[in-house]
Amino acid sequence: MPIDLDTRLADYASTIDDAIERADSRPMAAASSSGRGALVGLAAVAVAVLGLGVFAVAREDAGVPATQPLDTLPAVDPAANPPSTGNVIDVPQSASDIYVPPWDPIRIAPGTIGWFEAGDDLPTDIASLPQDQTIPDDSTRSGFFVCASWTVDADGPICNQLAGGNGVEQVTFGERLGVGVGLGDTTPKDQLWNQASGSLWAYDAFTDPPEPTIIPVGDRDGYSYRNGDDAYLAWEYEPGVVVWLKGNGFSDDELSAIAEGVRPAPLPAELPVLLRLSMPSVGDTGPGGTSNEASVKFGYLDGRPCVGIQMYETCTPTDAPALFGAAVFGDGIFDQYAAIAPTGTGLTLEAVTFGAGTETIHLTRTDFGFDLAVWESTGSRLLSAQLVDATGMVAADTGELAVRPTDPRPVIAEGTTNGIDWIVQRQDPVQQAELTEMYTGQSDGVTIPYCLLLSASGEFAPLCPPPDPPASGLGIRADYHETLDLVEIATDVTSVRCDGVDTTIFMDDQLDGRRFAVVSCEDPTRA
Amino acid sequence: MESHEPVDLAELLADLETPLRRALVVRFGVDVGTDACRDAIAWGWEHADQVAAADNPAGLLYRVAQSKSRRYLRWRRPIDLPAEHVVRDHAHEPQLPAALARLSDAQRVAVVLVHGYRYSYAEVADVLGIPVSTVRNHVHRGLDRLRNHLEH
Repeated sequence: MPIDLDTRLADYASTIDDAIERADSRPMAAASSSGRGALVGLAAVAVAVLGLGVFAVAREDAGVPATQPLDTLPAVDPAANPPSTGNVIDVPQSASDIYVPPWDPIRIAPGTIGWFEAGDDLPTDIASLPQDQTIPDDSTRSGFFVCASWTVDADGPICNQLAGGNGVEQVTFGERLGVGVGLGDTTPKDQLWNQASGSLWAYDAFTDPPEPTIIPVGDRDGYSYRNGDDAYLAWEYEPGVVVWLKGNGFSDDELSAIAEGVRPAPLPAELPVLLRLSMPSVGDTGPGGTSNEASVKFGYLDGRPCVGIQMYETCTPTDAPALFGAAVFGDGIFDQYAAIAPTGTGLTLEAVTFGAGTETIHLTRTDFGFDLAVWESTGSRLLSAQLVDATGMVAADTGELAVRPTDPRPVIAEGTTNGIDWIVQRQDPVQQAELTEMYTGQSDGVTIPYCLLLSASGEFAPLCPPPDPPASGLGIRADYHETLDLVEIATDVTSVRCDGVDTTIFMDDQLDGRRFAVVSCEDPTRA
Repeated sequence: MESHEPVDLAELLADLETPLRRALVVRFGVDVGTDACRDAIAWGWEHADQVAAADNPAGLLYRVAQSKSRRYLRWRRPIDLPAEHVVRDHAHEPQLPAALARLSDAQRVAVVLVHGYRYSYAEVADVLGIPVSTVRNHVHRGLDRLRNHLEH
């Protein structure tokens, strides 16, 4: 039966508009929050059009000024380290659709592996296809990588190992072929699933990845998924280097032949890449574990050294003690906080976390005249952080780091229930959630029932019925920062209050009237 | 010397915002698309001279939004298109958002803007800053793939 696609698309456009309206009513910040430039602009819009100008947005790299300068700091060479004019440096933004890394180029050691290119024996009809307009040159390609290892001489760092790739094909041929690479702690299966899951997601979101087909790539095993005309192939070129292809309209043999010809692209002598400082990997690094977005990075901007976590909008100069953090999601809760100080100051980072007390983290010396320490969230919310010396003198202080009270999107719910990973984005408005029908899923070969919690943006999370529904009080808990919980409400509970305010309870007839709520306080009470 | 009418930036941006936001949401998903649109409009206010001088302000802002969206993209997670409001009597049938997500970005945007929102090819070409012929190509190829995905 023919599908009335036009009607369906028109209805769906209306659905998109509804979603836009809901998204538009919230403060800015999707995967990460935007920065000062946007705030200025938005404030201008508000002032000009509405006469309002109040926006609550967390900065992705929030620098915090020192509250009390240390007079014991060693003298800083002003020629090498120009005095800071502020606690952050604005990173220039690209105004075109082509991202050009703004960082000063650093030297790349000969033989360093970066991205890959197709071989000379690529079929003519493929080789002649247009290249990706958004990744036109080496400089742009380098934006998907960081330097993971380097040496330093009198002229600065020389990078000898790149990491990253970010799941993006750096070389493409129209829509037929893309060549990408994952550099770092990753495997072909990781890279393969990362690529294919975007295509297969809607069908197998919560089951284990299917077993890939083995396709030879020279004398190596390549791992492949096929989804209609789309085919994905990944193989290990050498340890720490996984190459992958995304092809459309190729047979396995054709894809294998193309893969055999793929080779490392020669890199220029200099690239504008950031250095990933040797801190523990933190944050959401994705299934490949090679994201270059979650590490502390270092680079030069117009000759000025600075560090940051995401480095999209601002970075922090390295010539003075400073604290800076990254609130990746829109709730203002920091996933990572870093402290820097010129080498020799003897400062330590004291991080006060909810439930875990104070953690003291010693700063580690870097190659660039400053020391660095990083706190990362492991489930406890950061309440405050300080840089202190041995006498207790405070060089920098965040003050209280509170969840933004004006953010109407308190949901954060991600974790594992009965072995099934699930996530509800933190920025989804709770009031849009609804529970729907039961499904079953496979985890480690065991069939597990679960239901779906639909969020406003269409993402959904399996919520398993507990083996024994709670007799009273709160049942299922899902908490990332120990501040926001997804709970099941027992039948004898008539209301749940957070900080004295009633919380919406969701009911679902398909789940025999079971009730749920998302609470954003640390100590919900029942009534 | 030719004189130009002064541009009412507020009016211009207000006119551009709806189709721009729709295009970006279909391109990047609800959250990223919405924020990228805000970024682009904010950029427009900060660069009023460039917007006013542009031959195609919509296309300029779309490119700006594309650039700005980079900061929000973390790995290639699935596009967060909203769920389709349909009667769930075919729970395992591939749904429209999933099928749309399998199109190329350009095809998805072109198909939804033309066949969902009923914009003309020329209007879509303006918003995306690409030739009309390219829009037509994306729509035709995208519809073919979409039907194929939905029927199999």
